[in-house]
Amino acid sequence: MTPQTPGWADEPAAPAAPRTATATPPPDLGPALLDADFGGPIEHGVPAVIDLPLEKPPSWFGALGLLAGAGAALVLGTFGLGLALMLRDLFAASPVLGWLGAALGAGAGGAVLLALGREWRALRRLKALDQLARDLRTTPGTVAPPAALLQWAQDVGKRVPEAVPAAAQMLRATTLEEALGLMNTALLPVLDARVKALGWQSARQVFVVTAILPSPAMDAAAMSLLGLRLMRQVAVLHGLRPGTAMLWRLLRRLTVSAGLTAGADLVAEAGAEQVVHGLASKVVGGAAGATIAARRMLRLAGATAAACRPGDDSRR
Amino acid sequence: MSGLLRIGEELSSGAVRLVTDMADEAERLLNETTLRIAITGLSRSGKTVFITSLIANLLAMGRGRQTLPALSALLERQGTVLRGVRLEPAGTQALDWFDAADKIRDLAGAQPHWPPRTSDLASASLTLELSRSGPMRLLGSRRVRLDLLDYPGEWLLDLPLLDQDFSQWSAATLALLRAEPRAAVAGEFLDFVAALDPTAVADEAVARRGYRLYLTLLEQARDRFGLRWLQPGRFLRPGPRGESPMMWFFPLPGDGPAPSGSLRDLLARRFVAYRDDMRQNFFDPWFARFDRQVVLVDVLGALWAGQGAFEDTRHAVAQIAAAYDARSRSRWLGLSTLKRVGFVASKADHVPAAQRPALESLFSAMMAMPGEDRRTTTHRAIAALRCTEDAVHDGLPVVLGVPLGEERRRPFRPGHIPSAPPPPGDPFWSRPFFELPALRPPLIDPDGRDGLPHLGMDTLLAWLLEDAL
Repeated sequence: MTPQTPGWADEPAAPAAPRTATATPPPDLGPALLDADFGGPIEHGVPAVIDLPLEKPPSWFGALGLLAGAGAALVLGTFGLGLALMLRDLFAASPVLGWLGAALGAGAGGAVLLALGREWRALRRLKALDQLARDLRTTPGTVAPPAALLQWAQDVGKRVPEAVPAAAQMLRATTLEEALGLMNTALLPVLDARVKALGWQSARQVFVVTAILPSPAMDAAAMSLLGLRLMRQVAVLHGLRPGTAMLWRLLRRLTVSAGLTAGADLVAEAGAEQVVHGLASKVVGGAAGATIAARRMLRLAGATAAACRPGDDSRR
Repeated sequence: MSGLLRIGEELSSGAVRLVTDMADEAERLLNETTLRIAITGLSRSGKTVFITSLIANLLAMGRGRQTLPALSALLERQGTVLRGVRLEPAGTQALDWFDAADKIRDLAGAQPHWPPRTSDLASASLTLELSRSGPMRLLGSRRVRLDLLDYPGEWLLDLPLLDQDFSQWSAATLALLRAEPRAAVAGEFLDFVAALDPTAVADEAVARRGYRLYLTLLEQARDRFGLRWLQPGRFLRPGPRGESPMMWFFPLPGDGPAPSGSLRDLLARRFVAYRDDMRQNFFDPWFARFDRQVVLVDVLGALWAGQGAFEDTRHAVAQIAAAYDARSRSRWLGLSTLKRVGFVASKADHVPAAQRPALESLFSAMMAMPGEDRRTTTHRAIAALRCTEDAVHDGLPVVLGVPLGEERRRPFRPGHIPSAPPPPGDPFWSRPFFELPALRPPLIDPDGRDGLPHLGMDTLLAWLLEDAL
């Protein structure tokens, strides 16, 4: 304690900190490589692993998910309890009726379990894709490509026959760099063509629907339905199993990465309105809104495809 | 009816394509930034290893390794998340591709060695994908592209030549050759020049003999005294095109226009051809409009080579920095595009931590030049690839490293490092020439999974890119 620092006057003084600085060389000491053995080669520590940025959906989605879960539990629970009560009454009336009711309940329950199983498998497929994307991101390009990537390419080949030669080339790649290069230049263009065709199909439908429907609310409803259908088609094309939960996850992911296109869309929309309204309003009338809506279908197809792929760009 | 539908379909396709193109362009304008980073330095200053380390560490950081903690901290402070780093494909460029993976394999091989001297231009581009925070998030991820260029350091010495004519260059060069330490190796060449009549009729054999003598003198100045200010740079490293007749010239005294057909006229024409060739094929296409500059200087090598080499390095770096600054200014407004210039003392791992502040202080004093306040500059001591560990031996700080070709680590004592350049005549300069020992690279992952261990690369990059991230 120094006279300037607060504290008890009779407190014993803290021991002086040990001197850690080494002596500095005298001015007349020159450089030299000394002859002493201090061990083997230099090896520095491995750098720590930092958390890769994960896409976290906005919290209100979490709350909505919880609400949906509670609703589902309520419905299923009520169904189960109602079934139990009904079976008790049926068995009380007649054993035959009771067994028939039990068979009906087992069939319905089995169907529900089957549906849940399908959802679970769809989610598991999506999770495996996420894991593959993470592996690709953390693996240097010079090592051998992971087996999961090659399996993914083979699966694409099974669904899209024109992608078979590209998948075969990927199997021959010796490094991850090569495999990703082949994926980007040979395999994905084949998928892109299919995605584009699906996107154009939906875009044309949206263009016509939004130009015809009289109310913006109906426009929005039609766009939502067509959009969800398009997402499902693109996901299935990429080997994901169709499922409500999987689509929900995909939708959440897209809302997180929607920022990728939103800013550019705003600018483009303003520009398009200027062009379409200003220069050709007499020819196309109010088609600017329909054009933007159709274009969004194309962007949706592209964004869904990117979210369903394991490559570098897929997590955007 | 079907015709109407077809017209409607074509109209919608055209409109959608138009908007898509506009959106793509708008997205590029909003989210893409390109930074051209000039990695500048004289030969053996560590440009190639610096670029390799920069690429390897940024790629590893993009893969989730904490290789550049100061840069990570900067991103965190700014609320930016690094979503990924990728090497841009080579495209259609005519330049060599800077193959960082190949260089890492050299450094990590069973017989590890440093990359050979760079003999030609090579470039690489990295793209950092960064997510925005707050309301700006709606604009999507930003992409910051870093364009890097590697080249033989010797060629950089020709940058100041662009503003000189043959008479000016000859006068300046001959004055340097008559002064120590060059005078010790320039005797034969100076005698040869003194015996020549500049107005005599040009003779090819005389021109080539003069060129050979001058080249020998440059090589001796480099190898015996560790000098760096050796013009023209392509004499010492001709590059893939090799030696050509336009290089067969040497400094010859004389003022005013040379008589047509004379030796001086021939040499002056070759000088102009050489200068214009460097301008057209090297400086104009590749050395214009940089946004950031890193000037690497082998301070320790110069310090231990003696006062002549030290002053020579200081002079060379100052001349190059000034020439860069001039080339980065707009012709009409005089504004510089170079926003930040980092002067870097390389190979700082040869000095223990306790003496690095002295090294940085020495370097700052060495590089201090008037007019520096016009742009943002910093002076740092770094090691792009750290080959040593700190230790204490006989009560003095040392670094432990494995000399190249050996297997066991040995202590290296850098001795006294002055915190300011010793004045002329100081006993410090009376020490014998000492060559910086070449140390073996540390054990690293040949796939570059963990980046490359370094000293201070992260703080330098954080400073250099601070306003762009």
